[in-house]
Amino acid sequence: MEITVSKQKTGDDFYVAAVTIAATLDKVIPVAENISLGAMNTMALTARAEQSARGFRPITDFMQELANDVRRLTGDVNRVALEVSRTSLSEVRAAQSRDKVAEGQKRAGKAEYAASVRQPLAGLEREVQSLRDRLREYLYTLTSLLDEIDQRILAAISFATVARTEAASLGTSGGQFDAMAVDLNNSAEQVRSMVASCRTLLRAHQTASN
Amino acid sequence: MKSTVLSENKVSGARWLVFGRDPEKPEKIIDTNQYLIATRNQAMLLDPGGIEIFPAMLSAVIHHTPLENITHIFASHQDPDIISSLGLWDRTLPQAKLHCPWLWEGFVRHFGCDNVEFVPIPDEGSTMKLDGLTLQFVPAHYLHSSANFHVYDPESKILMSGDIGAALEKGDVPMFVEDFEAHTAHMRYFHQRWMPSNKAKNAWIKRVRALEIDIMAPQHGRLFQGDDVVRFLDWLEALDVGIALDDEAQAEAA
Repeated sequence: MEITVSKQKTGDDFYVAAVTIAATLDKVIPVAENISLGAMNTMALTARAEQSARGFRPITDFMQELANDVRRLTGDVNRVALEVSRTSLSEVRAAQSRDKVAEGQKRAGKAEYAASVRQPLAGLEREVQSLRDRLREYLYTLTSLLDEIDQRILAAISFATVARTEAASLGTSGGQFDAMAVDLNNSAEQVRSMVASCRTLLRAHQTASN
Repeated sequence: MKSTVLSENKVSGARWLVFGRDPEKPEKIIDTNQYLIATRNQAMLLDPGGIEIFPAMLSAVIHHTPLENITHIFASHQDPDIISSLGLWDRTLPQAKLHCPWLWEGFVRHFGCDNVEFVPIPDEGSTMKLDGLTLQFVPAHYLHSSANFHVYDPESKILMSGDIGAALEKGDVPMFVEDFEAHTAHMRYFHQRWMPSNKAKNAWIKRVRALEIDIMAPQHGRLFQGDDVVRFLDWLEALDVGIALDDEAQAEAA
């Protein structure tokens, strides 16, 4: 009797996609550093402008927090992406092993000891399923982390709009504040675009694996 | 994949089998001979081959022994045509032990060795028991690999000789050498180019001449039996090996 092996396909090259995502998000780190630097500059400007720029204090606090969060989340994405890559590679190897053993069993036909293949083949099938379950969990975590970065970035874009309004209320002295707000907006858009490309990559592989 | 019984001892139950000449093997992959020694309750695969031939090899093996009996694997050296299927056997025979030159442990593990136990063979060689059968791991260093062993079975008088005695012939050739003189044409370049050292070659010949051998079983091409074994040793003794260095020296001199 032959063991039936599952034909469900997983993302064969998730292990490549995952490290590509990690590498893409690595580029977010300098952007986060830039946001952090912008926060410090804005803080200095706010101190100099005293009362008239007090509306910028919560904005600088937010920018600092945002930079820290982006750095932390990027680190988390890197760790999870590495696990996705490792698990995906193990799954591909286990599935290939299972397929080769199944091929051997099929070729053997009614060989005298064909039944002895059943146990290792069943073990391989269990291993493949277990790795697939683990991969699904890691992918869920990865998607959640990207969601979290996206939420922070959307908030940053809103804060940048508020900051520009605040800067406009300062009249001619608001030029430097406006420049900071534009910088924050640009940085946020950059991060958003990188996250979007990671999402596209992830979605393409998830679709292929279903 | 063809399988041929090389010897069968009615008393001990020990059998030697050779597998090879797979007609479905991808064309550009070198043809290899794989061996199985099966006793009553145990079996050992010798140089089980590359990833590409694994399904054919597995299907051939289970005609002769149940997988749970295969408790040992032997790898003469680290080449991919010898043992790149290790990662697959590792999952199929998780209870097995791999006997391999100690020098190659860190290298061979790249093929995947999570379950199989690695048993390093020391440079001076060693012995192992398969049920009651004692097998000898005979040193063949630098022939061609820098850490290399052959397997000798004093009961069946078979020497599995790895790349020594190998011949590069195309097609479905017979399992045994039929015309030794004609066969040397298929062996000459292989031995001259793959084997690096006359000193290593002569040391091996001296060691092997002391053994009683009925069949010499290389990893590629035809096997030698009877008087052809001594003919081969004489032929190899007279052959100059390591010719790439000679070519280099000639090029430099010119």
